[in-house]
Amino acid sequence: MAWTVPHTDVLLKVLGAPHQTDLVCSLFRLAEALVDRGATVQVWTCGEATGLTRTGSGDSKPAYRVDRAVDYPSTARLVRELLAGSPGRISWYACRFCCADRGAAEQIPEVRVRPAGRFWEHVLAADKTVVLGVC
Amino acid sequence: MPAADRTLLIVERAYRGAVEDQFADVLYFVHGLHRQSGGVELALRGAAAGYAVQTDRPPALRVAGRLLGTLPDPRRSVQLLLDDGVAVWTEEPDLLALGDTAPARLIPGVRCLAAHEVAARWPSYARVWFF
Repeated sequence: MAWTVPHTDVLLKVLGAPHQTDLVCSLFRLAEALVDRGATVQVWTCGEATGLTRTGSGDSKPAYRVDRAVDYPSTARLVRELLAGSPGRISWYACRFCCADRGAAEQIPEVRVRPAGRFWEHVLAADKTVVLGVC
Repeated sequence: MPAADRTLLIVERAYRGAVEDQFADVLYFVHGLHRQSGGVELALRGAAAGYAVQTDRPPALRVAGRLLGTLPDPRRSVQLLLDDGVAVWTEEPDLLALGDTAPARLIPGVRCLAAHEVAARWPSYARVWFF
């Protein structure tokens, strides 16, 4: 049987780029709050946001020369922890075209890469779509 | 270093991605450039003037039960810059835009100028970079 997009209460469509504003911080706060309140959530990233879950980010940021003992988690690891913390309640998708176009073709295994042409299936599978930022 | 050899770094855009940046925010690179070059000065304008205003820390971010306590702390970073000899400038209108009490909460050591006085100082620097 062909895979279909699981229904969720909310789709968070992330178009804005990291390292520009605190959009990604808002994304994490929003996703966490929704799951805390019992909602099911799916996240779809486009453009530079696909880099949030790029394999090349590793688990941690490069060492901070002032204090090398502190561990600074990468966004990829935070996403992995977010998904592992609420299995079946939140899922993360990345646009295949944007991944290829923005140098993020290698994604962590917890992220499902989807064809751009399938995006509307995700809109239809969610009761509410919230768009964060613009490409 | 003579003022004529110094570099003025101007930061206007603030809060550029706390989760992604963590320690590696713009002030981290200001500090690195200060050490490499032998001396920079820093102008905090617009929303970035808030980096020089004492305030409560924003609540930590929680992800899957983990409290992410490694988000940037720009006020602490400004203090580190001051401690390392960086001259930090703001302009009064930018502070007032953050609230009437903002000028009184300026981090000690940060200097506040009248409107446009930072730009009036540009000819005294070898380089003026928006950062």
